[in-house]
Amino acid sequence: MSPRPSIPLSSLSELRRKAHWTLVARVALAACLIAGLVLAFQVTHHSRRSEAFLDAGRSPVIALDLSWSVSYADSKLIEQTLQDVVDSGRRVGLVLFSDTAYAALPVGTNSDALRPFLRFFQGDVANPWRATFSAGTRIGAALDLARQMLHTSGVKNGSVVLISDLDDSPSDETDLARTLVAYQREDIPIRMIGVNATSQDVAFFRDALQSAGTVTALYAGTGTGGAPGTGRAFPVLLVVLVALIVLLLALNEQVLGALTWGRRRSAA
Amino acid sequence: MTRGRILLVCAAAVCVVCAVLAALLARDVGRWPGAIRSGDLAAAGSAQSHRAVWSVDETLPFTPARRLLGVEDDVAFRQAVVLFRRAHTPDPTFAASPEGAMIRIRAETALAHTIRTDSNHKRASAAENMLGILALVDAATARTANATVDRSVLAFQDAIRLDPSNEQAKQNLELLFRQSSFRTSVRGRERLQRSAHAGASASAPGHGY
Repeated sequence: MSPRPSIPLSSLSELRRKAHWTLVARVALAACLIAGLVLAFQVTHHSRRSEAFLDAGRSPVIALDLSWSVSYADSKLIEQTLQDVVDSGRRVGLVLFSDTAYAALPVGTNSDALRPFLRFFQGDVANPWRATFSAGTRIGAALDLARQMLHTSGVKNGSVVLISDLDDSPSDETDLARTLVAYQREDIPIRMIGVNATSQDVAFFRDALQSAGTVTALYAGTGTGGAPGTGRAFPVLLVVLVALIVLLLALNEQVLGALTWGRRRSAA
Repeated sequence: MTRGRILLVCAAAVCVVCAVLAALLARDVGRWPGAIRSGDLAAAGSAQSHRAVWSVDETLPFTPARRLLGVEDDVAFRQAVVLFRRAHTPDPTFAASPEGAMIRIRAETALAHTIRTDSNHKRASAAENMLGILALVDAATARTANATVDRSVLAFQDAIRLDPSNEQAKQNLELLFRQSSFRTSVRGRERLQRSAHAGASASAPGHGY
């Protein structure tokens, strides 16, 4: 390997100051690049995990549907979703609901407390709610209780994650309207996770929630998606970060690149 | 090419890009008034009102013209009104049907969104009035026995608070108080006990209608 061509310098000390600043700029650029890469990784990593429905900086209440309409296939999806919440390490509340709703865990409980619930959705252990609690689905009652829990615990920046097949009871219409209006008025975001929900139910809740929340459809075997509009939003932050990294690299090449020279072109 | 000349060429290129972006933005901004007008015209027609749209397919990404003009609340209010018109029909069979209930829920959340976000108090008051009317339909068509008109009373009162000149909300509140059904509501019972004046009493003293 031949050594890189260079010009021998006789007065290196005169360039010491410039060499020092070049080193500083190089280190600063490298640090920015590494920070950009780490941030880009975090952005993409979080978009895959439960952070997609657990709003950052908010205290979520999980409302879990235990009605008869939730099938075995649904329960597998519920288990996966709950596992994501457990892994998130967030502080959560838990509402279990069917025809009625009750607070299973108060707001601010460590998500590890959800772990004992997981086994009931794995299919090995009999679901204890099936015999006595499971009946119809009243989403309005669940949302109302979740909102009351946020109020009672004095949480200002709460959110609600509802995990259900979204097959709401026709007799729930009035309560659902009243509750959704209250959520809109108080600007409490709702993240609905529709497990094997019909496209009509997904479309209805998406229309009804509007800016107050989102509906994500999960289907057994296929994971997320299915219904239109369930795709993720354009990753603006990621694109900006990538552009920043490219800019920093270009700057590095332009300002700190090795000095090159060539033969002077003779004037024509 | 000297360093200074390179910088000048770069600056010129940036200026050209900025000029193109500004021209595209101006074009998008100029299309909005027409879109609002055509949406209003479509909404005014009773048959096709639900097909009314107030949107522009903007050339620039992230809809900067829409943000610049601040038409979000104008469009949201218009969409809520269209939903209200669909939800509030004189047909009691439709009102009691699941489809009617679903449209009503959509309309109510849209109106609630307008009330929360619209800085125009007159418009927010009109939305509260419409929300009160739909809540009344909810109570009338409820499948549960304990449905009350409290929501409507509160909505009409809020409408009057937001815009004390909202005569429709006052009349609706007065009418609601006069209906026999108000005896079943907490507010109605309170009013009976206090023998207070109804609709107009929500205004400042001395300013009825």
